Amino acid sequence: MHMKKFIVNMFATTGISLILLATIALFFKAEYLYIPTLFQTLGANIIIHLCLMLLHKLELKYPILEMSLDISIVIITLIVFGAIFGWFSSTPVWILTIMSVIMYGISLLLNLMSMKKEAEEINTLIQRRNKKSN
Amino acid sequence: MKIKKQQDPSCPNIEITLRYANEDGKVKRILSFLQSVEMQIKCDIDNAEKMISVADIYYIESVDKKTFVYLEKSVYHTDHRLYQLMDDLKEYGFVQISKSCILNINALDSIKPLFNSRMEAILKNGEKVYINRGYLSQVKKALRGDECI
Repeated sequence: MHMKKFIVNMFATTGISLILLATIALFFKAEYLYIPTLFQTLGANIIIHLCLMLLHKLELKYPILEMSLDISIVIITLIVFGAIFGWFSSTPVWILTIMSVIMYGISLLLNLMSMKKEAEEINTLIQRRNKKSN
Repeated sequence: MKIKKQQDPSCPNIEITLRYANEDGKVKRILSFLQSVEMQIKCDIDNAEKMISVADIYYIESVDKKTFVYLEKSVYHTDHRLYQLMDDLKEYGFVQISKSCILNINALDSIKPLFNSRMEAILKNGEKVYINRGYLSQVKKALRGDECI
């Protein structure tokens, strides 16, 4: 299996399992399992992905500007959610910011791995096409 | 593939006969290329009009609502809109690579990945253009010969 797919699947199933567990715990009033932060994180992720999707639709000309806006969206959303839901009582803002940067870095690396694979596939297609033409 | 050419001073126009057993991808590519040599678009440079053969175009880009046609070594302006050209040229090997750029797939030499879901396309003249991830499937289709040829 493709490495990126493996890692993404692993994180996705972990995330889904946690949300399902928390939902079940909410219905059965199992307080030891019910973790509201999970739903808050899910909300933050939905907002982040929606904003990133809209931003990428703009197709900004400068990749550095796009990346800066990407990371700003992630940090601002998490800070706003943290302020609303009182995350900062247990986690300082700077830790949350570093966490966001690490998360963004990991997703960037995963993305680059998959892009590398796509580039190899396209370069093979180009070579095959050129060979046929000659 | 055998290529035969014959010079005939009595022939007023170039005449091409293509003989094949089955009309496969290769035949379609040759036909598409031949048609692109005939197909021309009106461009202008220094207030002078010029007809440019589609086969000579590397890519076409829209900048500030103006459309520019890039050849191997020169750039022309055209009054055509990018979306019109995309419609007209897709059967000649042109594929959209970003919101503002369409590329002649025959001008593509190689690509390399960049950060942030972009690819850098290196063209046969060494020039570089960006391909956005959303358009990669179209590039692959065009290279396989599924769509634009």
